[in-house]
Amino acid sequence: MTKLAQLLFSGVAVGSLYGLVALGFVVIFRASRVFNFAHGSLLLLGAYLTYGFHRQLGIPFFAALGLAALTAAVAGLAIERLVLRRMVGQPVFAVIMITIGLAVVIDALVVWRWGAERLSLGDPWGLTTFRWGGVRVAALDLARLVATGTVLAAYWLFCRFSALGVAMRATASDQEAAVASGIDVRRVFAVCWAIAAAMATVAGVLLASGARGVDPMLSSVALGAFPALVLGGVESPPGAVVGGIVLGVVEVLAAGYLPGWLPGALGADAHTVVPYLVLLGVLMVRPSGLFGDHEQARL
Amino acid sequence: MSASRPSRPPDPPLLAVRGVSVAYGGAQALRAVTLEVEAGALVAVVGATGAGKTTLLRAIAGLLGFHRGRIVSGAIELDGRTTAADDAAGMVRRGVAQVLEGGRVFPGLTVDENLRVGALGRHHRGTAVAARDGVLALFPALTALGRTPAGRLSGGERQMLAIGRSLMSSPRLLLLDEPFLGLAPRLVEQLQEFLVGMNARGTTVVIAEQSAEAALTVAHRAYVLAEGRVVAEGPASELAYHDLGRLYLGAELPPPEPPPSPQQVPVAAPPLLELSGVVLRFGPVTALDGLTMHVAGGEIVAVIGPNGAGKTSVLNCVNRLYHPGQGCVRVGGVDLAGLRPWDVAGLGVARSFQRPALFEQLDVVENLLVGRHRLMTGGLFAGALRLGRSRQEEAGHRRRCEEIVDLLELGAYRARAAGELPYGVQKVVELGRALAMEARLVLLDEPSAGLSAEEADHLARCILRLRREQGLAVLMVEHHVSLVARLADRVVVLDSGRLVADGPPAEVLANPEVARVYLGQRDAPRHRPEAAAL
Repeated sequence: MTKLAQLLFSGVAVGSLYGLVALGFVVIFRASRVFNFAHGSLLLLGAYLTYGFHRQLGIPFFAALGLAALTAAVAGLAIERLVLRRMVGQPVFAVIMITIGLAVVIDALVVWRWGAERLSLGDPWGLTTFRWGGVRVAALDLARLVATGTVLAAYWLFCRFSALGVAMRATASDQEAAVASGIDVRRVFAVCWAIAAAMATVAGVLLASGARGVDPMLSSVALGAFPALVLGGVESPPGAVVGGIVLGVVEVLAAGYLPGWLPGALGADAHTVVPYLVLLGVLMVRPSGLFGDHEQARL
Repeated sequence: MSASRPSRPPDPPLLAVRGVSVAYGGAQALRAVTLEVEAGALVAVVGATGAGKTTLLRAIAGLLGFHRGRIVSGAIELDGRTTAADDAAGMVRRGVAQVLEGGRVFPGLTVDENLRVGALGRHHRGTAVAARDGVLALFPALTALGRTPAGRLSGGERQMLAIGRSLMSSPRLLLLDEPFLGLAPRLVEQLQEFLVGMNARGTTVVIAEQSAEAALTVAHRAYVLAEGRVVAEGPASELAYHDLGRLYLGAELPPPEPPPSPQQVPVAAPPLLELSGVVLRFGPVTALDGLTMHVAGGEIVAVIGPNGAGKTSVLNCVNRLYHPGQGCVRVGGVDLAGLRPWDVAGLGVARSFQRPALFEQLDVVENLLVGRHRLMTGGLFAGALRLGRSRQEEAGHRRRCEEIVDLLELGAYRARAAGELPYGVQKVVELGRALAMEARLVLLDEPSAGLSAEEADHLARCILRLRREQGLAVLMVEHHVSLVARLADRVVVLDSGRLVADGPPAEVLANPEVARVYLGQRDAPRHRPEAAAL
């Protein structure tokens, strides 16, 4: 029982992080139909910026994180304004290639500036753990939960109450009707990129803090959130979060409960396969994901 | 008298459209349209589907770019100043708001949020509140629904909300696209009263509407569009319905073709396609209501009718995308019940869609070869290894495809990727693919939509030639009545899923009942149950 609680807790913590990464994809895709393969690189950039502000310039950790999120948001705005806006109306394939190209450029810039070695972020929670009714809780996991919850709440409030947030939802719902209402959708796209970049920064820092540290491999972690995205439905923000949590829990439970002989037979990382099996199962029943609302035509 | 006053240039009209032509890619949608709207007027723009009404509104509201259309020539002026540099947001700031067709609300947003979106383009927080109070005073029914997601509203409420949202930007000029479409008669009356009231309070209104009856009742002035041109204009009360019907259905019909000789279309040919008593329902909506019709072998039949008449549903029932609840559909005597769409292809029925569905990277001949897939007998391994018999078979198929290329005058495009071809040529290639399938019946959904006059002409020639030389039967849904008159042996007119007329084009198009369904006059005796009781 304690083991289950233990696994569930860390599963939800890891999963909420997957959800946060997936949400960044969703924010951009929903509004502008651009599938952003550079999201992982924004995550990398955000984590290194935090490292730079905190460890190199000596700014306190949380202030550094805020500054990094702000800087990444400006970078996101610039990417949309200078690159993606020129691609409006171009074939989807070309736009995807552009985002892959952006990923390569950002990764290269980060390595050029900070090198390829693994660096410690120097986050305040580090490796601290404490006991909570028999369950061992890592401070990092707690930080992940709190931070994801905070970002989600802020995003929800923004979408619900601010003029720009309402404009974003209107644009995602019916772009022509939004244009006809006088909404400047280009501005909406730019804001979406800024929000996604800031979310990526928070996700990147939470991934890289604790024992892991920052290194250029961090950008590929975004791909690990891909099943969460598909599971939840690429257009649904709640779906991204729920999909992420399901994915995290399944992965951690699989790692904890898979019989000892199975990893021997399938290789040491057998538990990483299980989420994909769940994904496959869900997609067979609901091809648009758990929260997708587009009924696919089935013959 | 006038000479004694100091000469002063007259005030420019609120809106002036001067010789505007619009094209989407290569397809021309408006041809030198000119109209003027004085401040305070209520103007109707009427015409059949595809006449260019929506395009005209898009051009005025700055929405053409969104649909990859552009003004090729002419200019649109608001208050005497050009609108060339204004996008949709700019036009909203200049006081022009458009209500898109079909009560387009944001379903995931609440009613309040929908209204808020309408104000974003023009108002600050303070003035938006006043605008909202104004809109809720006009539509009291929306007040209680403030927190309801718009997706849960009824059709009438959606239309109210869509109009209310546009009014949130306090427009001087309100453009409405088909506001009466799909509304119950009582709601049409309410909306009419509302538009008249709003107009009386100073908002200039332009209504684009197929249902001339509903629009002309309230309008001061009307323009009739047909095939992208203004074909008539004048005070709304003076546009006689009889003339309108003639204008809607194509002002100058070419003389009908001489009747085909008996060898070409045997009079007693057994029907190739037969629909009898077909009923198709979607929830409470009846799309087809006991429809009985047929297409004989080698016959060209056109289905026409106003929006929502069930035209495309007929095609979808034939190739089993829809499954009718009652009645039966037969192809060559075979009942289609229980068959899957690909089985229907096996019976020799091919389908083209409104937008050509070709394999864009493949060239023309390859696209035709794909159509022959079901005729290929060689197995996977024989084909992959290019064994002798399979090679011979492929050569035979290629020969047939080359024949089709020549037949359809596609020689110049033979080796080009389908995705690069002009839109009109793509439509002809799609027709060729149907032929490559050795289809006996081809279903065409609005074959001339988006085509230039020359392209439509090429397509029409090809259809006639395929019928003459290959004995192909055609069932088509088409809005361009002049094309229908030229091609069809028979025209079937639908309204609300029911058959209104069935006969040769000249006879059907002269039928007053047909004009009536197009113009939206719903007062025909058959709709009055009390008349039957007497």
